[in-house]
Formats: sequence, structure tokens, C-alpha cells
Amino acid sequence: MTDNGDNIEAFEAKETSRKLPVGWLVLFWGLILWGIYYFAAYSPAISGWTQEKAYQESVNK
Amino acid sequence: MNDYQYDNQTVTGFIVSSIFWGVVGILLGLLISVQMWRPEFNFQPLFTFGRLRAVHTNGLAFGLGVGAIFGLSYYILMRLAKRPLLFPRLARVQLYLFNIGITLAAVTLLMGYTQSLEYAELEWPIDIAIVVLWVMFAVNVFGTVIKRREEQMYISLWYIIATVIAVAVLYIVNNLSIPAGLFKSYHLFAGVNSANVQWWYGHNAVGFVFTTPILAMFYYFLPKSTGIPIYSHRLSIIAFWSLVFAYLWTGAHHLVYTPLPDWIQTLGIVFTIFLIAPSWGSVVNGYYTVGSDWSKMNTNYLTKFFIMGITFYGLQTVQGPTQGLRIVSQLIHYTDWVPGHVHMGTMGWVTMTTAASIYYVIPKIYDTEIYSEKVANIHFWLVLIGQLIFSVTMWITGIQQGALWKAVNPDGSLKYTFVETLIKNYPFWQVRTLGGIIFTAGMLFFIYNIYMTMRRGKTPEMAKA
Ligand code: HEM
Ligand SMILES: [Fe+2]
Repeated sequence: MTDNGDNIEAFEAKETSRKLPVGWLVLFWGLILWGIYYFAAYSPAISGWTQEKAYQESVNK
Repeated sequence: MNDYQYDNQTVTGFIVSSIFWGVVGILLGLLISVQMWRPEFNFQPLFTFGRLRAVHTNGLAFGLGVGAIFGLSYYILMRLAKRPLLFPRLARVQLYLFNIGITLAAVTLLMGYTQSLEYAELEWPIDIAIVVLWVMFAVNVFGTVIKRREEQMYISLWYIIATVIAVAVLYIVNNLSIPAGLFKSYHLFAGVNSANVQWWYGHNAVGFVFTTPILAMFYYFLPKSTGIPIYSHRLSIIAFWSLVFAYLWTGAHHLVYTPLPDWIQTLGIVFTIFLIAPSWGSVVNGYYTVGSDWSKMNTNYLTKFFIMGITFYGLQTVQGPTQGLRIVSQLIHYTDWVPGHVHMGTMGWVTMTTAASIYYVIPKIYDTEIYSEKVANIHFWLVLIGQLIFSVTMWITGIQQGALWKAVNPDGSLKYTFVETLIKNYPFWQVRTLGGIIFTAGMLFFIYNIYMTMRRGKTPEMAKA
């Protein structure tokens, strides 16, 4: 068996090897922005939201 | 290049060991699935659900999973580094120690010794053996990478390196404990800290045992099997770095609505949701790769394994993050929904991709063709159907369970007792056993196919000539 390892070029599609699909980029940056919003909205030190308060509100309903 | 032959035997040894532990783990899985609806199938004291569940999870994650990861990582490593392993004998010792370790793990768990940390049940003496085992793996991986004869490092190597480093850190930190006798110890961390460290570890068992090494296989064996190069190298690299960065900070999604500080939960959820992007980076890359020639789905029998595997990975990495959201967690947490999620990943993604990789590797090592593509196709359809039955039944009953638990009368008292909600699981648990039987049958076709291929082919030493 002649097995001297792989030719690395065979793994990369030449024309597309540097492409980043636009839809994927939107997802990537969109989730980062969403994360910033969510962290601010659900952190006691920033928005004042707490698990405990949210629970009390749901019980009072 | 005679050293390759030696290494091929080690690779084969790991694959065969992995399959052996896979059989043990899967059969035990079937048994515990029956125990859920037929208590008579508990055999005191060793073969009761409480003990066997951990043998099932450890046997499959560490026996089937890690065994295949060791073997296939070495296979990939040698070829991408264009050289034999730096320490072939060490790898052989590692193979023996691996089997001894899993045996000890199974026996001590059956005897009831456990640290009571999920996926970190093994008591401290075995932990030490596992760390030794992992150091052997690390030494060979790093040694071979450093002495490689191909300058460029393909993405699979990055995923293997991440696996080695992350598992080492996670395993050691979460298993820090104070021994109180040979088979008893206490977690170094207490209370909420213990839970936080445990799930930082637990989630990353998913990340660095069931994800990164499997992606290493996917990125390597998909192009090898189909002959199609990976669509975008850049996408694979960016997805890699963002995946390993994000994974490590998501564990708190297992502790939503617990005493863990609110901000830690929230931060965990942020990273959890972000994880969709790097995960889907690999999914998109896989689809675009095969998308350049979809006819491969018909002409190459392995393509559908990889595409179905990455599809379940894609579904898993949307479902998982969604589960981390507070609004979803409060419904499905503690219910049977979670095993539904788990098994789409382990059966649909991990086992599917690993089996396809083994189908590729064994004929290469034995210098022959696969025994039967038809048997492989039967295997494919059976495991697919079995897994879908498993997941779908658990999702349904999980939602039902969560809804019943939350149902309250106008005065605020619970509408259903726990046992009432439990009984409603029974039909679903029975159907799950059926799904498990179908999956097991599929795996038996796989093993038969591999066995026949080995018998037909030349042994690894003979192939040298
Ligand atoms: C982006 C990727 C993923 C995320 C964010 C994620 C998220 C989650 C969450 C939030 C839970 C806890 C559900 C609950 O108990 O309420 C969970 C459980 C689990 N997931 Fe995933 N998941 C992902 C992918 C995967 C994959 C690919 C696998 C396996 C191949 C997997 C296997 C598991 C396992 C074994 C558990 C059970 C943990 C336990 O014992 O409680 N997950 N996952
Ligand atoms: Fe998780």
C-alpha cells in the first residue's frame, strides 16, 4: 500500500476557498448584536431585571 | 514508510475497541429503555437503572466515542502531517490502557461508585488513569504535528488540537476533588459553584467530544469520500475559531432558573445563541461542498451519511440554543424532551459521521473495497428511522410532561400529581424501545459489513507488501 499522506491542495476548492456566504455573515453579526441587547435587557445590574421579580410578576397575574 | 503499517494496526485496534464498547453501550441502552416501562427488568443490585444509565452513557461517550476519536484522529493526523506518528509504541500502549480504563469504568460504575457528576461519574483513581491516557494522546498529537512534513495545517488538524487541549482542561478542573478513601471523594467546589463548574464541563463534553473531533472527521472524510474539495477554507477557519471561543462560555444554559446568579445565566444564554453561527458555518460549508455536485448523493454511498450527519448537526445546533432560552427551558427542562435532543446528536450526527468515516478507513487499511454497499444502505436507513422514532417520541412526551407539570388550578395548586404525568410517558417509552431496536439492528448491519470487509481484505501487515 502506498500511502504517503495527503495532497493538501485537494481539500480546497480554488475558486471559492475565500468566500463567506452573505447569509452566514448576516447571521454571525446579527447574533452578536442580539447578544449585546439580550445581555443588557436581562442583567440585574443594567436593566434591573431579575429572575425573582419576573417570577413574582408571573405569580401575581 | 513502513512505520505506517504499525500505526494502521493501532488505528484498527481503536476502531475495533470502539465498536466493541459500542455494542455493550447500545445493548445496555436498550435494556434501560425497557426498565423505564417494565420495572421487573431491573436486576438487583448491579443491573438496576441507576447504575446502568451511567454505564450506558460512559460506555458510549468514552468507549464508542473516544475510542473512535483516538483511532480516526491518528489516521487523519498521519495523513495530513504526511508522516507516521511520532511515538507509535506509545500509541499502542494507549490502546491497551484505553481498554483497561473503560473496563474499570464499567465495573466500578456497576458496583455503584460514582462522583455523582454527570459524565464525570468515575471516581478519582480512574480519573488519574484517564488523565494519563489523555496525556499520551496529547504527546503523540502535538509531537506529530510539530514534526509534520506538510507545512500547511488543514482544518481537521485544528479541530483535533482543540479537542486535545479543551478536554484536558475541562476534565482536570471538573474532577478536582478531595479523596475520602479509595472509592469516595468530594468535589472541590461546593453548592452553586460545583453546579457551575460541572455544567461548564458537561456542556463542553458535548462541544469537545461530540462536536470538534467529529467535525475533524467530517472535514476530512467528506472530501476524501466524494473527491470534492471543501467549499470555503476561510469559512471553515472562521467557524472554527468562533466555535471554540463561544462553546466554553455556554454551560450555564443547563442551569436556567437555578440559584446561579442571573447575570451568569444571561451571559451563558448569549454565548449559547451565538453558537448557532459557527455551528452553521460548518453546515453551510458541507452543503455547498456537496452542492457543487449533488449527483454524488447517488454515486457515492458515503455522501448521504455525511450529509444526513451534518443535517442533524445543523438541527441540533438550532434546537440546543433554543433550549437554552429561558422561555423554552422552563417548559422542557427535566423532561424527556432532553433525551430526544441528545440522541438526535449522538445517533444522528456523531454515530452517523463516525460510522461513515470507519467505512472509509477500514477498506483503505485492508486494501480492499467495502464488503457491501447494499448492507451499508440498509444500515443507513435503519439507524435513520430508529433515531427519528426515538427523538420524535421524546419531544412529544417531553412537551406534554412540561405542560402537565405547569398546569395549575385557579387556586394555584398543581393540577396533576407527578405520578399522573409519569404514567402518560409509558406509551412513548415503549415506542422509544422500538426505535432503539431498529437503531440497534442498523448498527449490527454496520458491524457485519466492517467485519466482512476485514475478513476479505489483507491484514494491515500484509498490505505493506
Ligand atoms: C450549539 C450546540 C448545542 C447547544 C447550544 C445545546 C444546548 C443544550 C441545552 C440547553 C441542553 C439542556 C436542556 C435541558 O436540560 O433543559 C442540552 C442538553 C444536552 N445536549 Fe445539547 N446542545 C447543542 C448541541 C448538542 C450536540 C451536537 C449534542 C450531541 C451530539 C448534544 C448533546 C446533549 C446532551 C448529551 C445533553 C444532555 C445533558 C444532560 O445530561 O442534561 N447537544 N443541550
Ligand atoms: Fe449544553
